[in-house]
Amino acid sequence: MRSDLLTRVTPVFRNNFNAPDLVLNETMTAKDVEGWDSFAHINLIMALEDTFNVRFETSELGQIGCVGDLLTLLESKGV
Amino acid sequence: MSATLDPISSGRQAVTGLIEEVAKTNPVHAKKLERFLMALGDDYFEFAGPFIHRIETYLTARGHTLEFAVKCYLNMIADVTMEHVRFLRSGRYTSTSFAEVNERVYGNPKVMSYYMHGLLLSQVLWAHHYKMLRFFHSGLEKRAAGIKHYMEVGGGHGMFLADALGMVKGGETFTMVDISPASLEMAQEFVPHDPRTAFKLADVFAYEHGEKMDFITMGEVMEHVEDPVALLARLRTFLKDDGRVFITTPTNAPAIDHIFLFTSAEHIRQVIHAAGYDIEEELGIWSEEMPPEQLEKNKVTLLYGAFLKPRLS
Ligand SMILES: C[S@@+](CC[C@H](N)C(=O)[O-])C[C@H]1O[C@@H](n2cnc3c(N)ncnc32)[C@H](O)[C@@H]1O
Repeated sequence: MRSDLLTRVTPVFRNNFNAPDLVLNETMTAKDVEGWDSFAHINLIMALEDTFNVRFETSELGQIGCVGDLLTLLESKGV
Repeated sequence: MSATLDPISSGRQAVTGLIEEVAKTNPVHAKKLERFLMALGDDYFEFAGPFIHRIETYLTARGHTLEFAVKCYLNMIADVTMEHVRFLRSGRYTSTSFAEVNERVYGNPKVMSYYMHGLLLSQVLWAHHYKMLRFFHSGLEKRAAGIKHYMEVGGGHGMFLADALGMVKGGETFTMVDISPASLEMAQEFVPHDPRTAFKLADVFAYEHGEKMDFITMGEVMEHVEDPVALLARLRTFLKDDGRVFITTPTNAPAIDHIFLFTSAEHIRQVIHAAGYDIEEELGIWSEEMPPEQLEKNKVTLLYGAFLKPRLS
């Protein structure tokens, strides 16, 4: 379930951006999360890949606009 | 549209327009651009306005728009992001041989076209590229008097050559050598038409040139070859004894066509010295802002540039 996935992704974000109280929602973009820029993004991608045991493709990496996009991407990989 | 704006404001407007276009597809990357570029001084915006206008003029002549160039740029960014993930996992670049990269990139018009258009935009969108371009301008200006024969190796989009044409007033020949047909085609369009220019499709290791050069520019090529010492030594054969070379190359910079991994500025200096050059002037620019000890730990890219003179033995 989608909201379930959001819950599972949240700790990865909290860890990666050092924000223990971060509350995620689907429409959040890089603008809304402090420190989420392209450098931290690489670490986020790696953490998501490791946590959910998936690998992203190049074409997928350029199209992540908001948290919801990430969830959709993870879902498409069977997460 | 911005005829009444002063150069700084209209430059700021042009840069903001590009960042907004980037944000439509890749807001994460746009955020970084905004943070870096908006912190630069007025001189940057004064430069950026006409520079973006130049790119736009070139694009229009080829039936393209700035949006097209931004798309190309974002393709390049997606490649770099992917390569970066792989690099942090393996500690190596994904390509190891020239043959592989020649097929995957230089000889692939589709890839090379978006790559060179993207790289052209990066000259104004990456603070470290902009600062290096400025270093090149000021260094070339100081050395321009007396340059008759000028060469650029791996000129790609042609932007450095275009600038050199304007700066080296006494220049008689300007030769660009590049192994990629797509690069040469683009450079021939981008560089103002001038009878003193010549564009040569060749691998620099196989290229021969009669006239010795006063100055050779080679931006971001050393990381593209298997043996950068041999590459610099090759340039020496084109160079007069009192000639000068300008090079740039990055450390820890995963990309689809990077082969040779420089791990530090010192590593680059060693290669320069081993090839028989002394460093006249150098500049290193980190591509991220963080405390010094974290830069190395995180394998952040350092863009290194230097003016070299051959060591006379
Ligand atoms: C990353 S681009 C650099 C473009 C530009 N000089 C700059 O600094 O932005 C590298 C260029 O070097 C060319 N190149 C790579 N290996 C080469 C070789 N062995 N001989 C000639 N050109 C080469 C590529 O085709 C490409 O156009």
